[in-house]
Formats: sequence, C-alpha cells, structure tokens
Amino acid sequence: MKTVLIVDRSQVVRAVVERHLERFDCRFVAATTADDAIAAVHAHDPDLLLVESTVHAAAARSGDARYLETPVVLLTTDHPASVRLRDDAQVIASLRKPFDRATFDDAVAEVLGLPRSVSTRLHVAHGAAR
Amino acid sequence: MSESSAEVYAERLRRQHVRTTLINLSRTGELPALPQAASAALALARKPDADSEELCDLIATDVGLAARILRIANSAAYIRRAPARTIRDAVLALGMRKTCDVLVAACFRQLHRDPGGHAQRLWHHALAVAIATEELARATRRIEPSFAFLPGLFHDVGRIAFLLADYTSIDVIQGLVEAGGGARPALEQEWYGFDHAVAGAVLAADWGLDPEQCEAIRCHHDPTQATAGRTLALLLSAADTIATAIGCGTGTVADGHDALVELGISADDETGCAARVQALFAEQRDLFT
Repeated sequence: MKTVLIVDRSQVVRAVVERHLERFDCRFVAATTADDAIAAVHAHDPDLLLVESTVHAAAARSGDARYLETPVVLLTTDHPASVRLRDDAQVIASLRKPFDRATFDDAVAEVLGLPRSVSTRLHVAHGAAR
Repeated sequence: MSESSAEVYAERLRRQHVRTTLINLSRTGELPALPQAASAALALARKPDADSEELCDLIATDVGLAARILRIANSAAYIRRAPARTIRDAVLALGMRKTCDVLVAACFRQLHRDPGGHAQRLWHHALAVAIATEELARATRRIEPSFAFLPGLFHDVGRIAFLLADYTSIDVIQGLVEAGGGARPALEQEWYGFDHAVAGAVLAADWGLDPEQCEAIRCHHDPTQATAGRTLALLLSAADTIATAIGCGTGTVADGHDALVELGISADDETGCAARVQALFAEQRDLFT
C-alpha cells in the first residue's frame, strides 16, 4: 500500500486532501512544518508528498536527500514564489487551492493510479461487456 | 489613479476573484443563478412604477409558480376574508412587494438541493432568518420591513454557492465546525481565500439586490465593518441569533448578541420576537416544498 504525506499549515487543506485520499488504496500521514515534514519522510518513507509550496521551499532548502528523492505534488496559491516552484524537477504536479476532486485525481494519478471508485466502475463495465 | 478609483478597482478584482473561484470549482462552469421568474420579480420590486398587471403576467408564465403563489396567498399566514381564486386575487392579498418576495423565495428554494442534507438545513435557516429580519425591522422601526426580507433570505447564499460548487470541501468544513475546529468564516477563508459572506454579497449584487443590502450580507457576521448597510447588517446578525434560538441554526454558535443589544432589543423583546418568528416559520416552512 502506498503512503502519502500531506504537509500544509491549514487544517482545512489537510482535511480536504485526506477526504480525497480516502478513495485511493493508500495510507496517509500529515505534518504542518518543513521540519515535521522531513521527520515524517524518515519515519514513514512516503511514496508521495502533497506539500504547501512555501513549506516545500523551506524543506527543499534543508538539502535532506530522502525528502528531495520523493515525488511532490505542490499545493499552491497564486503567489509568484509558488509559481516558480512548479519548475522544480521533484514536482510532478501542482494543485492550486481551492481545487476540485477531478483535478486532485489527475495530480496524484502518476503515483497513486486511479481512485477506488473509478477502478470499480471500470471493472463493472468490463464485466458487463462480457 | 485616485484612492477611491483604486478602491473601486480593487473591489472589482475581489469580486472577479470570487466569481472565478466558484466557476472553476463548479462542474457546470457557472455560478448559481436564480430562475428567470425570480430575476424578473426582483426587477419589478425595484421599479417604482411597477403595476400588479406586470406581476400577474409574470406569474402566469409559469403554471407551477402560479399554483404556488395561490397556495401561499391562501395559507394561514396570508389569507384575507375571501380565499384567492385567481392570480390577481393572490397578488391583492399578498401585496406587490410581498408577492415578489414570495416568488423569489419559491424560486430560491429550488437551489437548495443536495444529497447530504446540508441544503435543506440551509433553506430552513434562510427562511427563518428572512422572517426574523422582517420582524426585527418591524419591531425596531429602523428600516422598512419590506427591505429586510430578501437580505435575510440571501444572507447565506454564499454557503449554497460553496455547496453547489464544492460539496466535498463544504462537508469537510462543516465537520470541522461541528467538532469545534474553528469558526466557519475562518475555515472558509483558509480554503477559498474568502468566506461565504463575501461570496454571498457578490452573488446578491449579481442578482440585483441593492448595494446596501449586499453590504449587509457581506458584514452579517461583523456588522461593525458595514457603513451604509450597518443597520441591516445588525438586523441580519440579530435575526441569525433568533433563528438559531428557535432551532433553525446551522450547527454554529450565532454571534448576534451584540447586535440585539445595539438594536435596543431587550431580553423580553427577544423572547417575544422569537415566539412570533417560530410561529410564522411553522406556518411558512411547508409552503415552499
């Protein structure tokens, strides 16, 4: 099972992301600061980081190798600094807050695949065709 | 650019940001819209020389709406000596302004549909606050009661907009509010960058409400921020508290006690007003189903 680390200072953002992740076969852990994020990377070895852009900038500056090896989906705002971070090689996608479920699914698909509900629908459709 | 034109420009940008955010989240790619009949009724209500014939013609274009207006005119809340048999009778019984209010409310009700029950609760809250705002306006004589109903009805339209565009996030925010995780406006601000009062004011302006009414909607959680719409904002805040007291709240603690004090509503007046609102709400809640 994949592990996802959510890092955002906003409890609403963390809770919304967790709600979206409930539809995937994964477990998730949360952090609020760059230091906590790096500690959580070492403790849980996540497959994907969903990180608020300013926190990611701080965590990346630390130069922690494990953190820098993990794929990142940025949780961004319109702030120019967060726009620049989208060009970072570690960043596989960016989600501008607030985002909807379909946009979220697209952003995490590369690492997590399809959500359970979609997988089930495809399976049922295939079975029905036979 | 002068300071005032810079403020106007900044306000225009803020409104556009609200619209764009809601449109981007919405699966339909559109903002919630009032049905055409409601928009026409709002336009008629603003027209100083509007006559009842225009309103009758408007109601007659929609059979369902005509039946509903008749039903409301013949309800215990509005019935006069003789029952209304025609649309004209109904408009006479209700009065021009009230007919427009009822028509808008009947149309607005249609936006309150969702699978999780949030919208039903918001509808009851909207209707109770509309009735309470009108009652408080009557009691305090600070504002024309007919000016108070629609802002009361629309005061939380921003929440309906959030719900229609972004159900999952609103369900999450509601859960956090109920778990004591923070005040709703602050949580909405974290996620959307603005709260439901701001979104509601933008929609109300788009729907044709008066600028004073829109300002009151924007400031209904903090009437001290209002200028022209301050009295109406106080009435909305106080009405919110009364609606919550009669069981038509939305899971949050109402913050209108200061507004009740500033409006000069004593504890006894508040109790009496709450009893009247409860009775009117009981009469009217089923009229719009």
